[in-house]
Amino acid sequence: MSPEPTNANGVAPLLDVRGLTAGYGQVQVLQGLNLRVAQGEVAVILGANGAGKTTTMRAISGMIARKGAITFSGDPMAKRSPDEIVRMGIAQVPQGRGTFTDLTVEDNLRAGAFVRKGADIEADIQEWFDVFPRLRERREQKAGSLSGGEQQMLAIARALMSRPKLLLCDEPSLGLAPIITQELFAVLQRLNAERGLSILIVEQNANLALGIAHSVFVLETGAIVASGTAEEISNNDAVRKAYLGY
Amino acid sequence: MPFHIRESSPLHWVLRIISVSALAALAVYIASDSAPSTLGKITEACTLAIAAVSLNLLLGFNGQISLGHSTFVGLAAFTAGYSVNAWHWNPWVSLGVACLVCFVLGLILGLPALRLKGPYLALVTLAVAFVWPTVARKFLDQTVKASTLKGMRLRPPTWTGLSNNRTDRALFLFWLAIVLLVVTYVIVRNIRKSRIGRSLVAVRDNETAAAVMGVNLAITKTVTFGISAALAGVAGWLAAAQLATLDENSFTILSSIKYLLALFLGGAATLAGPVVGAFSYFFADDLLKTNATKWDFLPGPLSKGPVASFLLGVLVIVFVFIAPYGLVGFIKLQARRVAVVIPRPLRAAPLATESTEHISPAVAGEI
Ligand SMILES: Nc1ncnc2c1ncn2[C@@H]1O[C@H](COP(=O)(O)OP(=O)(O)O)[C@@H](O)[C@H]1O
Ligand SMILES: [Mg+2]
Repeated sequence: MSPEPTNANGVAPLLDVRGLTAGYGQVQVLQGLNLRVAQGEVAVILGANGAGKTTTMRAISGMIARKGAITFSGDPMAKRSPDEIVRMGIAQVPQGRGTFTDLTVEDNLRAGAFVRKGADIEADIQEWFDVFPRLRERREQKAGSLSGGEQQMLAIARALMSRPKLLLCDEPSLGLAPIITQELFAVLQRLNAERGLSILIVEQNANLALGIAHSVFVLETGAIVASGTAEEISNNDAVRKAYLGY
Repeated sequence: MPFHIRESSPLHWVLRIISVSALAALAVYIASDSAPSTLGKITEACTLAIAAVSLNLLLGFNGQISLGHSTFVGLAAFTAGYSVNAWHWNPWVSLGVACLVCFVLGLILGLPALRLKGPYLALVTLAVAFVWPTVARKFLDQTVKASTLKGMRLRPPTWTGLSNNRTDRALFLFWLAIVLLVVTYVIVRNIRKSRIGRSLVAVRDNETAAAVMGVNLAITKTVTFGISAALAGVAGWLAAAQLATLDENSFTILSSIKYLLALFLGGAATLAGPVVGAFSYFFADDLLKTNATKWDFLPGPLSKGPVASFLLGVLVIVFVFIAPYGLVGFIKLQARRVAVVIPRPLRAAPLATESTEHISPAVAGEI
């Protein structure tokens, strides 16, 4: 398969990453990575442990030094700081339980609106409580007292509080029971289908991820080695062996 | 079943007003009925409380440890003492300047704190606390050319109607200390309840998540260090108002440990914790110091010698087991059996939610 991203159907992609290199100190982790996310789609990056998935997320969000061309809605953003990138419309749900354990559920959501000001923040909290009713029940509880699944939901809701156009999710299934993970992916799918939210998910769990993906990128040692539609990737023998185990 | 109170309901407000008035009444009662020495002790406890509140902002809410707060307090005390005595500055101007000096030093100390965490940050700030006495000694030798620096010898302003005798001075310092403690407390409370305050706790709980929300880690951490240092400066200025003389041993690493103890005794990362902790620590210490030598029922070696600090140590250890979240955490837990505050309902979403055009908060912005 060619490393060139697919689904360039004439419309400029929402997120366009070309030749992205990044790393930590002397260690270069990403080796010229290319990927695209179209407006309104769910894109998935599949990769094994240590492939560079988190590094990719951090590079896109501006958390680490990076080189290459990244545009968002056509605007270059490779040199922007994390807060500028949030304001441009990219929100990230970091790997692990990315909640603020000592803040209440409600204050976690308010904190998610850090780059925004104004009264409609409270209205948005209401709205996300409608989407995640269990969070409403626990709104005055400290986030640290929630279950793993609830915390992951909270982390997603909190990311949405910045009103992103693109949501980045770093291994949302990590450490969660299969049934919770399914619920979580169903929520992500609904956010995409009903609200037109574009989502980029990185995952090791190929079965689940392929189920909701429109396009898929396979990441190995810092570079995209295969890409295509979910169907194409599921039918790729090498990918099937490596990530689906059959 | 505990009694339920709705947040911000009239009853809740009445209870709040009653508790604040009770505290104010207590202060008035103490002021009217206490010997100057007692008032002096309370002033000293307030100084400790201000230092603990300032440390709470940094350590409790932002998660940055500092063993160097004694240096900020000392620096402010020296700035105040020197500027008032040598340059005849207005003491109130010296308060502002002392805080500013501490703010700048705090910012500078906040820089290494960007790269260091936990024990490493503790070490750097510990080094600062250790260097301070040497610096202070050099300063005294070179500028004052005396073994001590005089305090501010603050006189009660005429509008207070107080004279400059011992009783009136003690009364004035008492009220001054209370006011400064309240001001410091309110500043930290307002920071904590604001958007910025949430970002402080966010940075403490999860740096990565805070950064991807758009919180600038470097600015948040250094400025918090600066503000915390400036508030510690208030404590130092107050000490210079109360103490007759200052020298290099006025604010050593032991003071920093005291601030930490007061903070954790009362409950770190709670608003009232450092105040409750400082008063409890101060008066437990005072009680033991004045009485423990008389307690001949204590066994053998304990009945003589420095028994007070030993007993205080035992008390602290026992306390950590009974109330790991501090006095305030303990009290809150007990109070919850009696009464529970029900959070006020969320403000309703605007009617626009009903419109079919409305898609979501996530995309509503650009349609
Ligand atoms: N903070 C760091 N400092 C140095 N190396 C790191 C750091 N974080 C990750 N790495 C290295 O980068 C590579 C990719 O890591 P990561 O992006 O976290 O992988 P993934 O998320 O796909 O599991 C790994 O080899 C890892 O050891
Ligand atoms: Mg990872």
